[in-house]
Amino acid sequence: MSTFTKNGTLVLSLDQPFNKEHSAAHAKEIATALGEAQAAGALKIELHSAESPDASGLSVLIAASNEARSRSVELRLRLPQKLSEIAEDLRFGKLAVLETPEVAR
Amino acid sequence: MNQGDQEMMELFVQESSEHLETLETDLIALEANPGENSLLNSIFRAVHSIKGAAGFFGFDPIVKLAHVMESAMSLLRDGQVQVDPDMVTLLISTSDKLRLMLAEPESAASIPCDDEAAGLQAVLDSHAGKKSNPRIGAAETPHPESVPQDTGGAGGYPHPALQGFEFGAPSLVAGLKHGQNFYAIQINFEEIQSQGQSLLQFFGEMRSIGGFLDTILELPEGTTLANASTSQPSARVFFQTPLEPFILAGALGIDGSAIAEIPAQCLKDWVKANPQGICKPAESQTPAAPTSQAPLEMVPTSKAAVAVSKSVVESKPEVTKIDPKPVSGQRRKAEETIRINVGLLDTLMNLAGEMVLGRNKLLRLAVGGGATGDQVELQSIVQDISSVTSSLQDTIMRARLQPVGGLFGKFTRIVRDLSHKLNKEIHLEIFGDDVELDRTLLEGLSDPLTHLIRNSIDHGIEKASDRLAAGKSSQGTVRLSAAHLAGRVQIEVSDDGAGMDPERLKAKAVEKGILSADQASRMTDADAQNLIFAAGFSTAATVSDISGRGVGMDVVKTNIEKLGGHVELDSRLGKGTRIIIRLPLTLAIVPALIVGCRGASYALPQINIEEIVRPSEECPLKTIGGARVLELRGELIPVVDLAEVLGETSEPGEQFVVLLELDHATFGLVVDEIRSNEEIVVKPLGRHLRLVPYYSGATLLGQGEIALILDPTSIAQGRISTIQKALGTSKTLETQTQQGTDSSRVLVFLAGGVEQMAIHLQHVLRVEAVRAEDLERVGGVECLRKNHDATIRLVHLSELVPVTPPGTSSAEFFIIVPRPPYDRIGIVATQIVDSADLPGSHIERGAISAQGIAGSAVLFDRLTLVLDFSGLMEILSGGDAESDGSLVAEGRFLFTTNPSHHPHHKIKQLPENSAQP
Repeated sequence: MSTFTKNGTLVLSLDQPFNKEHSAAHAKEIATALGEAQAAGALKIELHSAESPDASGLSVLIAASNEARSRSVELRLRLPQKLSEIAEDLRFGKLAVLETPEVAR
Repeated sequence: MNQGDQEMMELFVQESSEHLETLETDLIALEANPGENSLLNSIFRAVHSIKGAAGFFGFDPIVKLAHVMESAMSLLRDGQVQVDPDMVTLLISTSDKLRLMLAEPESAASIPCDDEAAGLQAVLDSHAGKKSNPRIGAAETPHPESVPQDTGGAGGYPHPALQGFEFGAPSLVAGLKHGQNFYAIQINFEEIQSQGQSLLQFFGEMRSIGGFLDTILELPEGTTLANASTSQPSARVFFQTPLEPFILAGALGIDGSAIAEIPAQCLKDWVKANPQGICKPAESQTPAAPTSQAPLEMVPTSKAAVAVSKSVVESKPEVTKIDPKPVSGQRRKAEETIRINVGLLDTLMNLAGEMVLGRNKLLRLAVGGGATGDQVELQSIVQDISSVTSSLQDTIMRARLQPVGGLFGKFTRIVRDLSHKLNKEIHLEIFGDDVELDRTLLEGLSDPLTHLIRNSIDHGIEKASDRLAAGKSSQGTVRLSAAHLAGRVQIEVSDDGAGMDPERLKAKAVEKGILSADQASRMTDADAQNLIFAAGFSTAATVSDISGRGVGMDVVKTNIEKLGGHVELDSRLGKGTRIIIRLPLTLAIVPALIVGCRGASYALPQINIEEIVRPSEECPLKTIGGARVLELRGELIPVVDLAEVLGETSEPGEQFVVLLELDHATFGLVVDEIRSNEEIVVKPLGRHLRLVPYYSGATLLGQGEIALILDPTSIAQGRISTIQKALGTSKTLETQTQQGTDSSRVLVFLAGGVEQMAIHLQHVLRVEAVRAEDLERVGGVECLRKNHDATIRLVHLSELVPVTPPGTSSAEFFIIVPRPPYDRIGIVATQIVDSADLPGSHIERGAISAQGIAGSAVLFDRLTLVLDFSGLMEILSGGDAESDGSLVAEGRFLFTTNPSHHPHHKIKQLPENSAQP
């Protein structure tokens, strides 16, 4: 996990997948990042693992979206290409602003 | 095409074929009930489903034809076009073309269907006031329903199950146009994961079978970022796919109750009213907010859905919980039924058969080991295994059973087509279409039944004018029924037509040289009617493409016999004809008598066995005119020596004659030994034995020995007529004539009381001597049971008819076992007096009368009560002679056994003069 600010947006970079094993940790990091991002007004979560999210991970994502909305923080989400279809199926676009996925090299 | 695609494809063809079956049956029913909404909806739905699934696979010709048909059905359903016979004919013809296309979907384009498409298009055009376009491509013209109408639904959701979703009318248009089905699906992520599937895989699967129109992710109330990792999110998906609900549930591995079907008509109506409309929740600005929505509620049928849709428009939300029952007879709940490959069922049946053989061996070992402590325990265990094996075999056999309704359904079409062709008014009545039969039997029944139905229509039912002249209604009735009777299935084809004229049949038989004039004059009416089963016999004045060539009824009889069944005929001149077919439930495991011949074992199916006789001075084997016969009760019965048939040399020694009944002829098969009764598992013969005519299969016996199963029909082939000729009778009819006289022969016996009784021999299968100690009392009734064979329930006549009850019980007595289907009861007799001729005119019917008693007569110088067998069976079955559910105890068939092995059960010998116990 690492955070940095890019063009005024706080970027939270997560290496581990959104699954049961890591979702609690991710939730904490996102909560912290949201607190920090409040001033910037935007938080971008970059997920690097192409592993399938699970119910626990989805739950954290949805909760993060709700939390961001309540804090008036714009949530942006960048996912690996492999997750782009499920993101579309599950309408992640309603949770966050989806950024163009990485193109597989 | 990979294996998955191939399976999907097979499923599509199978499902579509089932839809077509429904379609055809419903179309014919619609003709009789033009305003029946349920039929219109069912037909519409069937066509719609075919179209949708064909669209999924890209079979455009099927989609186009189905689309025109669906459009026409839509007009019929909405009452904009009236149902008439021409319209039904056109729709049936279209359904035929769809069937041809589905037979080879990839080459569907090669099936010519311009006439049907043009006909339907003309209907559409005439309604829309447009020119007819005879090409199928015309189906691409705007759908009549696409004319925008103001339904007043602007802004509202088209269906309550869609509340909360966000979608626009344009996104639905393509799916509606291609016949997609629409669903609101509740997805439980935990459940998916518990099945070992990742969400990525699951949604990939979903994507492969349809399209996501919208998804709502939901969290349980009170979920925050802090506790989110332990909460259970869920999703609601608005989904479109060509798949039917139960297939969808199966494909996704989710419970069918999680799927709510959104009737396409609702969406069509909404799109029509709001071509650019958008549905979105009022709180759509916060779409992912924790939801407190009630669980998804669903509407199960299109009819209900339309009603609900209207209520939504009227701002009175009303939803119906999904009905766990199928939405129609054609639809099954995914969680209750699965499709199983027939080959797998056959394998299971074979394995069950092997298990039965193993069970038989075990039983033999266990029974033969004495009564030591270990042996008794072994016997107990073996009995348990035997019981489980029987249940297993029975259950697997049931799994192979299919309702005869599928077969019966096709006759609605045949009756309709033929009645039109022959210009006769005919109504087909179907009863018992839920009766189940082994699929092998069902396949074998199709041709014989088709023939019988065609005969009924062509020869049986008169033209309307003739019927009216005969005082009948102008409309004739053909009735097709199925029922379970004593472990067998009875199928009847009857009509209220002209019936058969015995005199005409006799004259025809004489004309064709089948009978001499003398024989014809001596022949009973019943036997004359049975002439129709003779090869080449036909009375039809003209040969048509429907019937009349004289080939058919003999083939019907032969085919039914091959299935282990019997055909009976009952025809009354001017009243109609009834043909009764009796079949076993299955052919895979059959009860058989094991006989010995020159040291080898052979199995004879018990269904053919009439009785077993040990030749003696009273019933000797004779040679008359070079032919062997058995003289039994004054009759000469042709006899065939099994050893000779098999090419073995004759050896002196004890012999038994097994009397085998082949429809209307009886012959005796001489064997060396009667070994045992067993339920045998029929195995097909190896390739090298298939051409040998006398065997129908092979089986493995309890002791591990292989036995060939004898085919009585092929053994009798040619031999019986040769013997009959040698005896001075011609053709094959002498035995029939002789049997005709059987109807006047009676068996005279005492039932324990003072009265002497008589029962017509035509109702008697056999007489057995039994010992009282062999009886068991089960549930208040006396039963005779032996090892794993059948149970016979004992019936005392004094309990049924007003005769004196037996005095002291004797240690040994007789039971009279009636013919099937009543062969699981035994009428108790304390003494067999004799058999005698008793013409009906000699029965005094007025003096003594009661249900179960036909009258009285003087026989052997004593007043004798003559039993009315039908009346007795009616009393036993509580008034319904056809129903024997309460009549016989559960169990299988028991047959006479070898007295040398089981001295308590004697093989029947009925001498002319007195057979005292």
